Amino acid sequence: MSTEAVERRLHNALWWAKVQSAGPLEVDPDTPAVAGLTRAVAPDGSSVWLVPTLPSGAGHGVLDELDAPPVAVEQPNETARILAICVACCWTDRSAPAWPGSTGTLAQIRSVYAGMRGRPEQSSDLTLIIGSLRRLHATHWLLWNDKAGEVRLGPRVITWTAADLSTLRDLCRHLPDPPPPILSTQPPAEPVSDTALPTATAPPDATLRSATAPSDTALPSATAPSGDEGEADE
Amino acid sequence: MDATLLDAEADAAVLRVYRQVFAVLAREAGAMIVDPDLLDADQAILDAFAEAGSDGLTVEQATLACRAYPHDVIVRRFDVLRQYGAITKLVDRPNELRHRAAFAPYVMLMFLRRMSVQGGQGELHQLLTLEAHSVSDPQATADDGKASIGRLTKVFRLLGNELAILVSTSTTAQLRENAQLAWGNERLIEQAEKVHRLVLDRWPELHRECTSLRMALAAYADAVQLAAGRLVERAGTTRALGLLPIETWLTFSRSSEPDTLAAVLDGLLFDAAAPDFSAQTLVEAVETGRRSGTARMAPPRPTADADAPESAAATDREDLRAEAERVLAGRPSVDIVEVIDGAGDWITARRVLAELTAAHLHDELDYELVWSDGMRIDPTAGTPWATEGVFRRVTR
Amino acid sequence: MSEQHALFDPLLQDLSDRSRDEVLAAFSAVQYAAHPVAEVQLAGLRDVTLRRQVQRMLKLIGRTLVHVDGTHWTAGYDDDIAASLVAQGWQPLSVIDRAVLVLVLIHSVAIPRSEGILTGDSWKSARPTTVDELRTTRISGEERRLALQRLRAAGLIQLSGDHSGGPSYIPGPQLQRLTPAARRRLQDQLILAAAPASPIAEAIRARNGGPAEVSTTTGEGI
Repeated sequence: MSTEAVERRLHNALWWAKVQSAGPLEVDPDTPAVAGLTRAVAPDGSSVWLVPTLPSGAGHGVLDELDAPPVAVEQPNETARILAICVACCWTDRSAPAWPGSTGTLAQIRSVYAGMRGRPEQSSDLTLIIGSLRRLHATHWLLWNDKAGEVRLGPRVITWTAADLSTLRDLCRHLPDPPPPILSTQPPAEPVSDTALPTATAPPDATLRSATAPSDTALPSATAPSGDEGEADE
Repeated sequence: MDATLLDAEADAAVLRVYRQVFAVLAREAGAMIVDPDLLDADQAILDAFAEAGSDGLTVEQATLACRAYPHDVIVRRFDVLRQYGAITKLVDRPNELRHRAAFAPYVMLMFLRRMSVQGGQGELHQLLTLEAHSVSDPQATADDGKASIGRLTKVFRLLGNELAILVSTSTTAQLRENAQLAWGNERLIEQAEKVHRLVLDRWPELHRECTSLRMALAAYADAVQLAAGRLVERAGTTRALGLLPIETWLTFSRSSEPDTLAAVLDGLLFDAAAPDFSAQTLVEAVETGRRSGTARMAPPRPTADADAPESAAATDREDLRAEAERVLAGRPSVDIVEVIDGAGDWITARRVLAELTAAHLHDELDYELVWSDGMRIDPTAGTPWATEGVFRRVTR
Repeated sequence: MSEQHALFDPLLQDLSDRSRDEVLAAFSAVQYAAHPVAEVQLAGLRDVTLRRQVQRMLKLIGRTLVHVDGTHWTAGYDDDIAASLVAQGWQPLSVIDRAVLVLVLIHSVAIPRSEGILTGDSWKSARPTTVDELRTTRISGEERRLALQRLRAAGLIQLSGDHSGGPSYIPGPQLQRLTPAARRRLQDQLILAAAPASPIAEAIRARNGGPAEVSTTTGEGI
């Protein structure tokens, strides 16, 4: 092998090892390409996420057939549901790829969650939702801002195939529509009308406090928004 | 003539103490004990004498005081201790029934017990401290210094020899069992060197004796290193951990800062959590989370049995209610741990929990399943984990 | 994803469809299954030629096959790649997470080893570390709780089956991914940290030819 080829090999191997040990990495756009690591460009173009991709026929799909499970996710179903709901909230232009999507809010997630359950929000819901959001954030499926109560899809969603996206499109259609997002910093492109504000379930700060409090102190009345259906209609 | 008599008397005194202290190790006159429990009996007897005061004890009083032990054991030990002079008549006359105990056997007992725990190292430490103390005494003479150095030289030669022989003749397992010979040697050598320094500074004429001690120390250190090296070499990739005493691990884990603990993993890389969520996983999770309600979806795939979950939900509502009521048994709420324990095995408990969860999620049923902590099941090991939680009736 | 894969295609394109499937299945199993997989279960591991392809795939991404108990395989970081990253100061695991993991390793592995009750030569252990044992250190309850959660999610620790005294943990399956050199390094560093002045530590330094160096020769049976 030429020196150049050896160096390229080492470069690839080192970056793959970094991504395996730390998860998808956000790097400067000038970082040279790494074979097999897909580049998910941040919405503002200021950085790039390196996300590992595999040839078809490789990956977690193989494990089911072997009955050799991966490391288990805590609350797997609950976590998957929240990811599905975030897809519904953040993948607004479904003719485009899921990444990078747009910003969604905790209020939207809570609303869709209650709608999916087909019942008013319960006191335990918020604890489950926040727990799932944090888990998904830690593994780069979501970019969850605890403070602002805002969420975006994470760089890992770039690994979803076209078939995956078409399945998810269906799934989104069958989930309740999220209410319009009310962001803490209003995006310049789509101003939110003032009339939307009163229907917000709770200001982000209050929401977060109750989210981090132990569930037994969270009052059911405080976490059961009455306007679920109304918001969904707007 | 006088001197000889004095010597003889001194010899007799030494012998007397020897006989006394070894009494606790004597099975019977002329044989060593083979059962360490007998030491407990000896101690009980000596303890009883300590309590008895200056009136002493009769055999009967002693056996009564030691009634926690079999009567015949105490009588026999009493006899052995008496034969060795550890216990003597209060007054030496034929009809004297009361006895007194010497203190030396008790000291020996304490020593033996401590030696048995650490293989003598603790005692060696103390011995070294005493030697340092005595050679520093203003009254001490060069002969004292010489004697002290001589004793230490012998002790370290014996220690080093024992270890060197072990290294060359025994298996790794035997060596590991005797690893305590090598533990804590650093401090032992330091202490011996201190005595050495004191003696050499004070009595430079003892340089020859001091050289012998240095050589003994070096030989011991070499033997220790040889033993450690051989053990480490054969310990594979994790077994050398067993060469340190438990106390070392406990001290390290309790007294170390997080930085120090974390540094143990320097240079090691681990995988980040990287769960996979396929589109199909999301669809299935949403489907199982949605029992009924206004927002319905036909599962994207498979489409054939699209309505199955719904109809199941409709028909099993009363079953769920029945199960919930069975679990509640008339109470407004029930502890989940109790429910799980009541179910017996996990298979049953899981089924019950699934039903309670379904009842909780069912919007036509007024039950709630509330966990006080979000994590209770460990799917990794396929092992359940239950924290506190309640299942209860709610009014909607 | 795309039909083509820039990294693996040069390796895979020479294989028959069947071999390709078997190699990819074995690669995925050793990479993503939580536990080591049995050699008999997969043609890509049973067949030495295919296994060599799996190893070549792994090498491309800085990994290597790790043989477990002579019958199972998993994948871990290639020693040279790990050493290069370490030289760059690469350590994604936080101090608290590492500290808590080390505490579990001390209580579940090191102490049972000193008691002489662990057999085998791995970081596996069924001896649970209780939360009380983790509590004895300078880490707050909340920090510890979150660290335990993260370590579990990564498979570095797992809940023990022993529930008698509250939650307790044992080393997770990921520790089986350590190469022999990494396993030994972990052992050595634990001893050097806990008893730096002991003869055992001295012997380790002597074997490694200096205080800092650690051998990276592994002798994997590929």
